[in-house]
Amino acid sequence: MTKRGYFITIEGGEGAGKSIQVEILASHLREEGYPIVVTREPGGTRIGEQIRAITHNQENVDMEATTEAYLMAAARAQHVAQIIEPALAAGKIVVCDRYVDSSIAYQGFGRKLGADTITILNNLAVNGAKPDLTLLLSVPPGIGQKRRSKSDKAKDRLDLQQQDFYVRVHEGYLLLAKSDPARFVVIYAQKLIVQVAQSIWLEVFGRLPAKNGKTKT
Amino acid sequence: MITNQGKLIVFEGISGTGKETQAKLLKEYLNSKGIIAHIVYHPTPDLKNILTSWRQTRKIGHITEIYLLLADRSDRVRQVINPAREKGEWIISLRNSLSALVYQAQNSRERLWTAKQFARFEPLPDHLFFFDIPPRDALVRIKARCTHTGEPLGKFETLAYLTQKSDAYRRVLKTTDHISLDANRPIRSIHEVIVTAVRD
Repeated sequence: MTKRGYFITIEGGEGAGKSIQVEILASHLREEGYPIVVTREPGGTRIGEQIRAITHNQENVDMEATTEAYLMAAARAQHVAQIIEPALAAGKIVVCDRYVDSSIAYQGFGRKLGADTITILNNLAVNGAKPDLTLLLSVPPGIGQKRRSKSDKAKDRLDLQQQDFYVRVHEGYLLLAKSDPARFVVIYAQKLIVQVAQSIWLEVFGRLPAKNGKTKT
Repeated sequence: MITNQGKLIVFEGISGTGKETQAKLLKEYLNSKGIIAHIVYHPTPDLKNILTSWRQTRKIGHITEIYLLLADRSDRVRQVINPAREKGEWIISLRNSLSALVYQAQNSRERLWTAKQFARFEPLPDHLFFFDIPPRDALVRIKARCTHTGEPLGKFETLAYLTQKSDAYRRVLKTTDHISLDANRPIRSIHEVIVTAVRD
């Protein structure tokens, strides 16, 4: 592939402020004139949204972890093939709210299926589409939970799991970041939204490829 | 002939080979011998409907299909197949992981990965029967069934496709223990071969 865009993923536990930061980052990139695609997991395609409805349904609270991992990967496979790969091939910047690292943190560490197991399980879905940059928004798990319960989003199945689960997720994310420092940037997200947004922009802007062959100013 | 653990019998082969007919006959036979037996479908009818619909309307990718088959089968193994076998009941499975290697996986890398993932949770069959038939004969039987039931021909039901898949079966069966059945033989005589094999 000669023309390839730039692939950014935003990761973090519940209540880390990912959604708002994705919006702010996207608007910065648009202002700078970059062609961008903003997307999210699980979901991002109509098939993905339908799978998301299954995995987040309260009636499926007893769903086995392996089955859930395959469903999540099914949505991801569709997402990569239909949205991410075509956008990257067209030279666009892709900003994705959660990606494989979420599966490794939540299912590998949180639900104790093992980081390697989940990585291998996702290999076929990812099909080589590895992020160029992963921004990990890090807040201590207790604080993220508090933020989430104040927000008006309805509590879904994944919110109802126990506290030690969130601690494992948090620590799993930090381990992932440590194991791949060239790709990960950890952003401490306990600050004000504008301050976090500024930290993110500083990290992203310095790494972006030049637009249409022109150098950045 | 009965062990504590119920047996897992798998019927594989392209469509139009009479797998379902033989599953029903085997179930009746086992019941008559006092063995509880269940017929399970892979994919489950729920997933089959979803795949049919998403192929028509959503451009579902073949890798997405592989993952949905894995989710569906892992759930079925945990909810139905393993509990039944632990009670000493038998399972007759119409297709198993072999079908994903034949129908969805597109190269040796994908076949290897898919086989390894299914092997994480899917029990090995006690007997795997391959229903062998020339693709041309299978198509005649499928068309007759469609005329009879009014259902439309499926995505996999053209001569070119059946031939391609028949070849793919031969490739994956080279490394899989199985008993090959001549599916053109009369229904009763195929049934006898199956019964003799499972009675050992």
